[in-house]
Amino acid sequence: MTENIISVLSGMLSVDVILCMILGVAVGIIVGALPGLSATLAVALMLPFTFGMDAGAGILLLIGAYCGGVYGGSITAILIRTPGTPASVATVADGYALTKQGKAYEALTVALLTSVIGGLLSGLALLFIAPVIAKVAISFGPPEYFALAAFGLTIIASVSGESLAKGLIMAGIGLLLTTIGIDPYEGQQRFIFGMNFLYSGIGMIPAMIGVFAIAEVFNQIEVRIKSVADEFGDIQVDTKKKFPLRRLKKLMPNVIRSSLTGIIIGATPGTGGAIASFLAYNNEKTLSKNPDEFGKGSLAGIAAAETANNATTGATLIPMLTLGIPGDTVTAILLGALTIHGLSPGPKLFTEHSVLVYTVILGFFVVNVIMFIEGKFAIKWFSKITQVPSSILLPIILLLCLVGAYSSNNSFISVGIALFFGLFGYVLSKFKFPMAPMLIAMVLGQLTEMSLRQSLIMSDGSPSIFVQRPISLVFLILAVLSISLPFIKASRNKKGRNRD
Amino acid sequence: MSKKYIRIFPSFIIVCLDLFLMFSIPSQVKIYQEGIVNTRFMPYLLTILILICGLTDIVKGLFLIRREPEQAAEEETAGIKKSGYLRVAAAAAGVALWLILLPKLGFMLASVLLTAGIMLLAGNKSWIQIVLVSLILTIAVYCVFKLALNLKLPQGLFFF
Repeated sequence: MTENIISVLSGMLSVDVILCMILGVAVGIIVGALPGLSATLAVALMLPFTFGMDAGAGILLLIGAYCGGVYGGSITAILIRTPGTPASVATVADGYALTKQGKAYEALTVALLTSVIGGLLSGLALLFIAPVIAKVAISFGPPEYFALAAFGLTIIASVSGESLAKGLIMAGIGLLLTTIGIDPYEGQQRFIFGMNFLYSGIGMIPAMIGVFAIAEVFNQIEVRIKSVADEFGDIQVDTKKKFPLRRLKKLMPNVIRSSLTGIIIGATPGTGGAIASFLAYNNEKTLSKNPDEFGKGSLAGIAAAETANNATTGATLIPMLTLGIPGDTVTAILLGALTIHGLSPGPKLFTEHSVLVYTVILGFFVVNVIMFIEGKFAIKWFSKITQVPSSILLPIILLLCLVGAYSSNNSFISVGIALFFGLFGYVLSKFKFPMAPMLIAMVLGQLTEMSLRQSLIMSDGSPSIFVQRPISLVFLILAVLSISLPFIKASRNKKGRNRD
Repeated sequence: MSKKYIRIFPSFIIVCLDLFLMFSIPSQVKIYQEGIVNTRFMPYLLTILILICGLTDIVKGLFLIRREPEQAAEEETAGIKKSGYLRVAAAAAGVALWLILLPKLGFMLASVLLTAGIMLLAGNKSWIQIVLVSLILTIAVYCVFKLALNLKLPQGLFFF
């Protein structure tokens, strides 16, 4: 590991890689700060720029956008009571209360500092835990991969929103989309319907750009808001006030506990920053000597929520890099980006492309440092971001999406696919069909099918192969638990409500 | 169709398309060898899964409509505004038109027109802003993708 780290450090200090990280973080913060535009959109927007880049620089650009996007969500949560991303919902009450008290600068500084600390601690978890998991995973065969993919697909239960049936429909559609084209195992064509462009299958990048970015542009065009800050007026951030670091020292036990919560939640596929921030917030409220202050302008509340949601960023990369399992939509896009660069995520990545893996891991630390510097300089400009008129912002996003889709394989067909998925995502989300299950299923589709077929051929069609191998059995048990836990929880809640 | 049935409409369409795909598997998915685990295995499995979930959602929706007809209709149509939908349809048509015109007009001209159209749809009424933003944005995107990232953008009539 040490040799890899030394060789990576020399390569990572190049100007273009640093510039990529700076750009990624800046775009992430700006997009994340705009309500309705999430870190996922920031990453999807940056994706086309990585096509012509070296894999390491490209992935770091996306990780910059990811970390910046998660942090950026806190800015509007604090300034205008509108969380930029779901992960910042827990920050709203305390942040806005402080803004009303004229302490916006304090709230923004605590959010920035704790976000960076949370990010750095999750980077440490990534550095030390990921290689260990990769070492174990190297011995996996088709049954283990199928069980793993099945476990990965159970994430769908937790990202399905209100209706599991709708989540499963979307997952089914996602998996079905991956079967279009030439079957990689037998070389036979599937669902071509005489359209030659379908021979190469449905491109994941245009689909992602369509579902997440173009659909969001359509949503914004439909509601037609002038600008985010329109209803809130001009908000001033008084940067002349200094924030004493001893106040941060007081918050450190809270920050460490919340980081651990964020790391554990982030490493669990299907969870994410929103759950982590609420858990950490509630935890700190319970432990606090002054729980009544929470929700009324508590810096401890902001610290807990912001540390935890940023601590998930590095942790979500653990299952992605070691097992090839996306924990959420952002990591699903990052997986797609790795595939575009000819890399197959999973345990072999650590042996075959160790320099790249350590570039990503160490770059993650640098990204967090850059986020601190950019955040520190930009605090006074944050309130201005929300004043950019939507009518200027939307064409920028749309044109970047269209050119991005085109550049994925220099084809107009890809733009058509992106437009189709944009409309598809826009219409179905109106009827509360969740899009995340489809994307996760598209990422895991080929692995699921190939490993299932290979395993069944190995066992002459007997499914017992999946329970005869211990690792595969463990993943299947985890998959069953992951599927059944939401039902058990819902049934307990129902019983509790009936008792009341 | 009655407003209250809008809730089950997407699932109904999905089930219909799914049935079409399921019945087209024998003609659209070629197999190399007979047996359970062949090229048709996943398509059949997935179309059955979608069918079951789609029917479940339809039945659930019908129960909801019977129990609380007004609420179901209100829930599903909340936030639906005709003018908003028309703007989205116009934006989608604009993108489709951009796609058709791109090879003929070239990236620059087609993109300036698209950007201006989207700005109008998003509610911008300042012609100075529309002209300036369309030009600057298109030139910036052209420079980044064509000159910096070396992407081949369509040239069209005017060679840019």
